[in-house]
Amino acid sequence: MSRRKLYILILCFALAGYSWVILNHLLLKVNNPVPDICLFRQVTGIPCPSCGTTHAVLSIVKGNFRQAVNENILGFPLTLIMILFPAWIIFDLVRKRDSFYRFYFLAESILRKNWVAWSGLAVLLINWGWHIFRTG
Amino acid sequence: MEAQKVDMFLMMNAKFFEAHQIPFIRERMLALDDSKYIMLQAAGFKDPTISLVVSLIGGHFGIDRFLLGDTGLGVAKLLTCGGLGIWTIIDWFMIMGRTREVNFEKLQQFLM
Repeated sequence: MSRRKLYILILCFALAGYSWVILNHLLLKVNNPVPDICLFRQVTGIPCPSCGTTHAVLSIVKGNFRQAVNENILGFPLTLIMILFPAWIIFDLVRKRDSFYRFYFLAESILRKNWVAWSGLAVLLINWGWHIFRTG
Repeated sequence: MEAQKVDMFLMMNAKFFEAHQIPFIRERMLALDDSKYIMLQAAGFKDPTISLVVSLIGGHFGIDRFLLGDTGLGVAKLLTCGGLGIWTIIDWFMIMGRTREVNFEKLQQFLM
């Protein structure tokens, strides 16, 4: 993947992410039901590993960290990614550098290492199990 | 490399690549040394149909992207409920093309 393609892709994702969070915030503000977009939950009735992250991100923004933990712990890394990555890319584009591009492939190679992948999977499964257990 | 060997390889592996890539692959393989044939045979290309099946079943969790080695995108898909469900559906149509692209990138390592 070229640098240009990766940066455009991540900026588009960030834009979609921010739009989605703002839409949810506005809907919740007027007590409107939030649309359920999770295909897995609609088909099986069980929440997927990332269900609840939008609410968690909104809780983190409002400073309710305990509530965010209850909604989904994955909200924390996602918030960090949503703030850090677009800022990093814009910094790269302004300074005409490719530090994020190199970081992305370095991160991918680290994530592909067996012990990192298996630990990540274990954390994810534990979080998912806890999430299913808590939501009943 | 002999034309007969190249044609046999293409006949067996054409489904792993885009149709427009075949003439280029043939041309480069003909110029290649015979000793590379075994390595090409053992390269282990990914089947686009298998990718599609994985995408239909596990696409929501980004498993299709992990399978192709797009770990970053796989994590992104996993953390965002399959890209709000939209990316999951888009990937049902895109994943076969991406698999062929990945196969071509892999083949190029032998052809260069």
